[in-house]
Amino acid sequence: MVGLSLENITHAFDGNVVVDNVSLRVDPGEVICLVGPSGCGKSTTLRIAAGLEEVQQGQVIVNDKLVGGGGRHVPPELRGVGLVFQDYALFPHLKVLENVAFGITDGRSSDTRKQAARAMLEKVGLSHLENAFPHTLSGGEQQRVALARALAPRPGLMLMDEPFSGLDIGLRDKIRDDTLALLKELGAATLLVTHDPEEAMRMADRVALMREGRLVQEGPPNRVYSNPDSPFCCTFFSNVNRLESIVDNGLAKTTLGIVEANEIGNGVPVDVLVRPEAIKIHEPADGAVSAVDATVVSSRVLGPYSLVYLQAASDGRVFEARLAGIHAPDDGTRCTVTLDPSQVFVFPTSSN
Amino acid sequence: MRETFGISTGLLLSGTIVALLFAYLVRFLAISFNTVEASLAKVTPNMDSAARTLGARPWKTLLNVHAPMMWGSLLTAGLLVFVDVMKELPATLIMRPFDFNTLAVRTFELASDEQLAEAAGPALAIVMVGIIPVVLLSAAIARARPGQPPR
Repeated sequence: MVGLSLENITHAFDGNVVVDNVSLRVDPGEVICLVGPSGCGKSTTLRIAAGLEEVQQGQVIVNDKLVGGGGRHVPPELRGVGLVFQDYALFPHLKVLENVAFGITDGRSSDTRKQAARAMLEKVGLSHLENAFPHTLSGGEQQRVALARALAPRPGLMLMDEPFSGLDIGLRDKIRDDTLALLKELGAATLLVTHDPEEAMRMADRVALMREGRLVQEGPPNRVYSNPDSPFCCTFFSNVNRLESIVDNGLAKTTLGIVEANEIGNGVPVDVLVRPEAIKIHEPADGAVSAVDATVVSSRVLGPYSLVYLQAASDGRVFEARLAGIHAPDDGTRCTVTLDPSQVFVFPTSSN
Repeated sequence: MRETFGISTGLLLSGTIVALLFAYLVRFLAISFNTVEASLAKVTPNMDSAARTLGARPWKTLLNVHAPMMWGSLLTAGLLVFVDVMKELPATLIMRPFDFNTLAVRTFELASDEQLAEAAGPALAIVMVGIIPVVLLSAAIARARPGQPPR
């Protein structure tokens, strides 16, 4: 059983290739997040899966059926997919219940359709609003109506295009969790498009990272985060401090200390990417100034964690460190810095 | 045409209702077009896509999404054109078939003969016929916008 399988999809608009040989598989009950910066082709990929764009090259399989590719194009209304948009796209002339019932079309009487729509509204916790018009609802409520509307025909595949971007932060976390629980309960295969790495890490069983139309890395969130394939992947998921160095006997010497360069050969110029949380701050060592001594330039407490900006004693460069909890040393405090090697990544400079 | 088929197309349509309708179409298209286009813009491309993925074929999307959302504006456009066509004079005067009078033409003929009292009849009729649909359609438009906040 396959929810969605994209095979070697390539798509161009007016000669500009926006999706370049993308292959992706989503199994039933699985949530895959397609992430990437704006304009990387992730929304186009979603539209191809939905049938809103005709396949130019490659194949699309939805719910075990070939629906696009090889001269075949099954229109979106016959694919059995649910689609949720960033702007929700609710029908303004229909009440909430009618919006949800819109997609329930399989020849049943209007009473059973309404019953099914009510059941779905119940699941998203909005049964008390069934007679309201969409413009009277808050953003969070509209989002849930859009979700209920897409899920009401029980699609085998759910496609979501930045569905939480319009919500304010406090509400977003709760609605994300509720949505995820509902998707898991109904067992649909889900492809969620987002530009927000945190959202992808939070929602996804697997994350697929896109850049300029290509799929650059795919895997479970923790693996993608802790084993990035490329500098792009590393910088996409968090801020980094970037240091230049040259490998010498398997080691790269940097302002913040010496790091292992794994398999990279001697004399190769490398970028050393240090995540802010990799920097550990200690009491200054006694005696002479060493390579890893630093001075606090400024610090900010952001609640769950604190940002500390450090100036290296050796070359005067400023680095960002992120420390758990409340940690606000005075400006000008001297300290010694060590690195957590699991959050430091070394790439040859040319791989950027 | 004359060489090939032996008929002249010169006056085939002039002086008929068809020519008159065509003249009205050209003259009043712009007025209705803006109104209709504005309402078409309210149906976003995403609503189209949403309706399609929810199982509606293109014609059903037109019927269930576009038509209800545009109904008020279509009526407004129809009303504007109706009132304008009714009081239109120059094009009607030139293009009308023989023995075909509109209220505006009749008023013009009588008024130009200085029969002002007689001209009052068709002139008032234009006003009356113009007001009735305005009243009816305003009510219909107000009802046709349940999803919109009152403006």
